[in-house]
Amino acid sequence: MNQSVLFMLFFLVYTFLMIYSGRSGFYDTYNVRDFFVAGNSLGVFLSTATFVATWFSAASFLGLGSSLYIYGVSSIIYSILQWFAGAIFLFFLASRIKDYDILTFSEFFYVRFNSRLMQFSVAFLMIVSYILYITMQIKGFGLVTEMLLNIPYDAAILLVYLYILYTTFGGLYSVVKTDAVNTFIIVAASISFGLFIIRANHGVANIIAGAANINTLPVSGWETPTPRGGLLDISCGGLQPPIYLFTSFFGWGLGLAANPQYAIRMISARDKSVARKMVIFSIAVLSVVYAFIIAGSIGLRVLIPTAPHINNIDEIIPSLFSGIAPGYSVGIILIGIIAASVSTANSELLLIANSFTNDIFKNLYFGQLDDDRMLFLNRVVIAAAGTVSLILSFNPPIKVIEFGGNIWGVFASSTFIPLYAGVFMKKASGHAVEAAFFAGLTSYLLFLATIPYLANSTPNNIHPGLFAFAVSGLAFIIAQRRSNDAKH
Amino acid sequence: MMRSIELKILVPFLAIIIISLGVVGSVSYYGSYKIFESLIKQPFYANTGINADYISNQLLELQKYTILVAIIAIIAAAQLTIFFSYSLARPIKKLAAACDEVSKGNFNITLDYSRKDEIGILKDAFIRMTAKLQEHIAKVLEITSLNQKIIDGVNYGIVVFTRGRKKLLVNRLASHEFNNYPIIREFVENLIQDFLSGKAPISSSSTMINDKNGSSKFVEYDIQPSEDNFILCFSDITEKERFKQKMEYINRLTSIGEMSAALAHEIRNPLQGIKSCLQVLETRFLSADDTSTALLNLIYGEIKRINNIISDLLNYARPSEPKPEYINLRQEIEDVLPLLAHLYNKKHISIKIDITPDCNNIFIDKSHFKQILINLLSNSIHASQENTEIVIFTTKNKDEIVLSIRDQGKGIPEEYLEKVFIPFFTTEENGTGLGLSVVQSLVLKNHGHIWIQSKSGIGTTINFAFPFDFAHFVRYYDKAIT
Repeated sequence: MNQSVLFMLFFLVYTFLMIYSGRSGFYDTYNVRDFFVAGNSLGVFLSTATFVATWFSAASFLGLGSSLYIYGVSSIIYSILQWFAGAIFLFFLASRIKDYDILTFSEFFYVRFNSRLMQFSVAFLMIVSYILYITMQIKGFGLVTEMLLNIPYDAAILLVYLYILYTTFGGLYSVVKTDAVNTFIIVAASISFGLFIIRANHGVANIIAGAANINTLPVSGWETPTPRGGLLDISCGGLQPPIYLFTSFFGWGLGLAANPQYAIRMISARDKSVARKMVIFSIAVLSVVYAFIIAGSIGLRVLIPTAPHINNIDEIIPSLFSGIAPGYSVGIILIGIIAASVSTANSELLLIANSFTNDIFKNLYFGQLDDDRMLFLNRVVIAAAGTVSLILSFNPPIKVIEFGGNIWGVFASSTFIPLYAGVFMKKASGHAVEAAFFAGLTSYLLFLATIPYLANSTPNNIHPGLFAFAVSGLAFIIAQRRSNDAKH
Repeated sequence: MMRSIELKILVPFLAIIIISLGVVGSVSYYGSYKIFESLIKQPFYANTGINADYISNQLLELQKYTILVAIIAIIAAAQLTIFFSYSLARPIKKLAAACDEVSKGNFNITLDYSRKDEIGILKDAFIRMTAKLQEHIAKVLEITSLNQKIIDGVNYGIVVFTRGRKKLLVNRLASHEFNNYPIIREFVENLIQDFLSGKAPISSSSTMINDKNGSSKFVEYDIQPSEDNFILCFSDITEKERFKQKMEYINRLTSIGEMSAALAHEIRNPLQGIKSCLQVLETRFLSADDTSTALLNLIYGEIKRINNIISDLLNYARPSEPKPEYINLRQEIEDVLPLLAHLYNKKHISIKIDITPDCNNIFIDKSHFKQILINLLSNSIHASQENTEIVIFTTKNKDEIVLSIRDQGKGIPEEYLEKVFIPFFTTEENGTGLGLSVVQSLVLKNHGHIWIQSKSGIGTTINFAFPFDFAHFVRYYDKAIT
């Protein structure tokens, strides 16, 4: 069978799975609480499934895979370990955030600090950031699909757009149920990918031995070859400066810990115990997934030491893999990528709608908004935000894509301290968290803007999250002291 | 009728199907046309024929796009279908949830959807029906509540039971009786069983039942059929029976008293005659020797004794009408004690008065009270051992003040406790048996009541209760005369 038709048939099966799993979300939703947080009723299985699916985006597969292919094990320290470190914060957050009866992440700041400014600001930041991140997801998937299926990019992104809208319209119940299917697909795809490459290399030992000897250009046409043994070196033989690997924790690790998606997953869990188990079980599942992606990506480098010239490094793994693997195996990977895209994007799209309606619109609208109107309004916002992302995806500005890559850093610098201070510090004041939020956000954006002018200097090797987080922390301490003095 | 629900279902579904098929069909048609067009433009060589690979590639491309468009159409159609079915299902689900709430008895429901089709009509009908139902239920509850109040208010235990011995209703009094008197519960169970098995065909009677401890109760009952069930009404008439027996007993005592009073009158006059005659004889005929004097004194003593008995009898049978007033208990007791000092000092008995300030006033005839107190204290002193203590104390019981006199004497045997108030019943050699009878008569006259607690060898406590103010005195009186 022709490979493109085979892939299409895979998509057809995936479509039926999505339609089947997402259909009941509509009917299970009776009110705003159901739509926003699934009635705070999710058990361990569904909570874990949605947590994993939300965590694992297309970027996790394509970006991480490419990074592993080019830089080897240093990418584990740069990304996976930092995400897992961030998850430790989430474990402790799970026990406390459940004490608050909230529907959205931004609402926490109003409930805890009585700060409408924080509620508006965090909601606005989420809306902007997530629209850009969804744009990245759609774009990433569109490029891969265009390459593998040999169909127009516009048709590919239209397809993922429809999937995202369909799975989000039913609210969190729909998102969670489709996430359960997507998690299964993601796990199956990563295992399938890893096993195929391990078998092609005749075992993991051969991958390690082969990786130790790689000293080729990672991509044809690049200037810098990988130093021999660099693939197994934590700094990739100097290509990845240790200072950058360490400081990127202030972007990736703390960004994950302050990510609103996970806070909402905890709120939607049935109780604190479920919320804690969700974090632990998710890390266990993700460990398996990452293990196969690591083995598969480095193993692919051993099989093909230099990738042919490509326009976008995210295309390295699918393009190389499709050249050596049978159609059905590539089809599974492709479906895994769309599952990762859809499951992350629909969660973010739902949060955009929830934040806009609950934290911004409801507070500005002086009429009475009943549940039915709120649900309708949410669906309108889902369609609008999804469409904006789709439009941006047709021809995304390069700055937008660059900013999308920094979203976790933005969250780490702006919302981490307000969130954790609010949850763990009884005396934390509203003014202090406002100061921390705005100082962190402003300084992060300033560092991002100045980095291009600091080429070859030390700050260029330091993640901007470190500076911004430090500024945010300092602003918090100063404002908190002033609040305490004012009380006395 | 564009508002009909059939059209609301039919039109969207037809539109979805037509659009989906139209899109897929158009893509197939356009693709086929493109293939045909490219085939026409292919350079045709007579010796080579048509390039099969080229055609198959084109057809595969067509298949691919057809599937792609089909997928997009399926997702879009599924989304639209869900939207339309949701718009129908949601109000129905709300209606179902409302029905469920109503079935649980919750009528405070709101159906917040507005439609003008059959679902809207259904909602309006449901709201009207719920309002009507609520109205009827309120009426039924009101009637039920009233019936329950009546059933609980009657002075009869009511048990409604089926032929299968299942109790359908047990009213408040019946429950109270069952909980407090297992003997009555057992009796009713047995009665129902015997009635249904035909062993006790009599449906109305009164009976005395005894429990294992030897105490007995009188129960009056009546069983009436009511459709398929039976209504048992029963009443514990023990108090009534006891009262009846008491009344008969009091009537007998009254007769005895009246007869005694009449006899006393008849005896007193001749006695006075005998006494006068003796005095004449003493002055005229009898010598003043020791023997004569002793005999005369003996006769005078006996005459005096007979006179005292006659006075007691008259006091018992016809006590004077009480003139109640507020008296100071402690003061009255302290006034009486000196009169008995020679008796308790002789036995070295100490008298302890323990009267709380809130129990210091009672509403009673002062002279009657003194008489009661002297009688009871005399008895206690007589019964007490030497070097013991008599305690006079008070307690409050609802609208009564209870005055108790506790001694450490020999006590009264249990078999005598019920007889001590009977005239002429005495265990003392020199007693007349009228003291406690007179006390009881005076206590009753003053709207009080008296009872004795005693244990042989340990001592006796005599309690008598009196109304502590005029209002209670009158209420007691009202109760007594109704």
